[in-house]
Amino acid sequence: MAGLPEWLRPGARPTGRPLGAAVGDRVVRRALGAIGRALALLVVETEPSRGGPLRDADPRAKMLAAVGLIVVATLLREPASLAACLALPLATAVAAHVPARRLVPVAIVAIASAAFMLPATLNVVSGGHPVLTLWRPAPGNLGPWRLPAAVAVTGSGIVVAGRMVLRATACAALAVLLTTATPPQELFAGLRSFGVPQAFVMVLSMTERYLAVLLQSARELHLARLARSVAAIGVRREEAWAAAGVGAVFRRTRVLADDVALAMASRGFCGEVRLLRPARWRVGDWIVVAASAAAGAALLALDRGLA
Amino acid sequence: MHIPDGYLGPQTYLPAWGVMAPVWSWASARLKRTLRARHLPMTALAAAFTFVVMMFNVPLPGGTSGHAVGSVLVAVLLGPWAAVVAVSLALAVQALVFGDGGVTALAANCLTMAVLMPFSGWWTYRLLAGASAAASRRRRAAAAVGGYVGVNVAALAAAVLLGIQPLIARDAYGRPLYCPFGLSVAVPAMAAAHLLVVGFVEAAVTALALAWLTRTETALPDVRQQPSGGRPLRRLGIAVTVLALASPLGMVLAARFGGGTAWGEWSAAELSRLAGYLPAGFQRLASIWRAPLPGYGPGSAEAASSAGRAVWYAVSAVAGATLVGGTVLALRRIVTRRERRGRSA
Repeated sequence: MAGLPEWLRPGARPTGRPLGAAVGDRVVRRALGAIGRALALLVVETEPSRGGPLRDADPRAKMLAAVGLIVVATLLREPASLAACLALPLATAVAAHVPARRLVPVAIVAIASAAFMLPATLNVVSGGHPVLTLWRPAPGNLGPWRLPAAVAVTGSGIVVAGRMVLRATACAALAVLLTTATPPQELFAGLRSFGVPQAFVMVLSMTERYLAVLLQSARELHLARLARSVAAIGVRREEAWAAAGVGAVFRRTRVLADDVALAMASRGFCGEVRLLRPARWRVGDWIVVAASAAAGAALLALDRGLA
Repeated sequence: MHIPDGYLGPQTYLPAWGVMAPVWSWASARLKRTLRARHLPMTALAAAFTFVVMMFNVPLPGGTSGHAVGSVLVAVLLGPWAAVVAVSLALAVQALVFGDGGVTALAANCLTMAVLMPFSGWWTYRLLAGASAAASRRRRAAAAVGGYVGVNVAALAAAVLLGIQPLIARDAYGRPLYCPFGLSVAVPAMAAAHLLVVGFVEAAVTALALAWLTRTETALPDVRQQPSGGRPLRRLGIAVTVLALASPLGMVLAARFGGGTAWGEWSAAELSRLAGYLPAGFQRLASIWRAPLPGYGPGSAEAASSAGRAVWYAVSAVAGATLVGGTVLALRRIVTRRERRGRSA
């Protein structure tokens, strides 16, 4: 029994703060949640049924349509036209029977943008006519800054913040619709048609493939950490554990890279990159591109008309 | 630090794509040259590794947590060009597969996190690590400072990209069209968060992961011994000479379109004319140092013709580049000698 630590001896009770309340425990659980979500997303990516009718369109057509509309969204200025731009991918998602959980990232972008843009609604950032006074500070200075007579929400600020939230959400909805309706391997193969170097596309598709393996390693590390914890440890030891985890994943990365390189060599890889050949361009694909171009032109015309 | 779509206007994201296209092309050429080796799966897995590093949350004093980017760690372990490719691919996967970070803003994000961060961090690391042993404290400290510097340089660049939006794109009523926070808000906000919190997370993860690996891994790759691929110094010399010879174009175009002195770069005489007086401190400091080539030419060049001034401008550019390049090469020679001495000791 001499070599056993105190906490491992029969009848010993863990000292220190209970685990459930510890910051490190919350952080590990949060990381586990994030890894689980990323893994789930990678697995869902391979479901052939998602994306509905959009699933059948050529990845190049979908990419052209989505990226074109994202660029259009960055050119729009009026909140009404931006709202129409947001409605377009949401309506398409509903029509294509995209599961609601797939649109969660869009909601996250909307909420994060709204929080980030809150200060922009105030007269101290955007200026303009006050519509709601929040605070009248006593005259004076805050460090090098002179305090304003009043802190108020302004009409201009609401327009500026609303425009940003709508634009960021519309872009996120278009990107999510593209990734939902197109498996990553098809998406990456489609990139080749837009001049992305072959080596980059191949490495990109390998990255996506092995990401799940490394994520699984990271999940096992976090689970092992959680399973072996009996009490909270200090922040410095938590940091040391995280760094050791990163190091362990790097070691796994190197071992896996060696294995993959040997496997590629044994299968005859001699530097020539071969990718999935994209399918033939069909009439339906032209319709997707033409419809998105028409929608983009209509949005720009609406925007200029409203200006 | 991931800038989403919609925060940057086309005036910013298009030039970012323009800057990143040759960087990716160069990185792709390097990747192609090494395709026959084990470099290809290593690059792909380094990209996946960078992605996973961002999953490791580190608790911080005060009950919060943060995560590292990992660019500097990859640069230290595999070299800065490998980091450019790996982090660019990780950001591409995040944008295209997970919808995290923008599609139009992808180049801007790569510029900050896949180029500026690994290169600034790696250079800092190399400068401070010198010829120290792989498992030495100095090497770990250098990695920590490299991580800290790298993430702060990247954050500053992202803040500048966001902060210039109100200056370059406004609607008819003068309201900002894109990110509404100017430089006076964006830079302090990003700098405070990264100087006080995120920088330390990056520093801790970079240094501790390197320490863990040097303790447990016997065959860590030594990026100092990797072939540089071609003759980069010669190419750099040619590029700098061409740019130096083309530098009078800026003067000619400014004269053609009536451009004055750049804002804030006024001489004592110009400032006195613009402001109506010359502050006493300015007057005192302005006469401390007499430049050998004032105004990019000898004292008599001011009176010369525009062709004569253009020649002096180009001569000054070549002289300046030679001076800077010579100093850097001399420093490099000193560092290399110290490294050799350290290895033989």
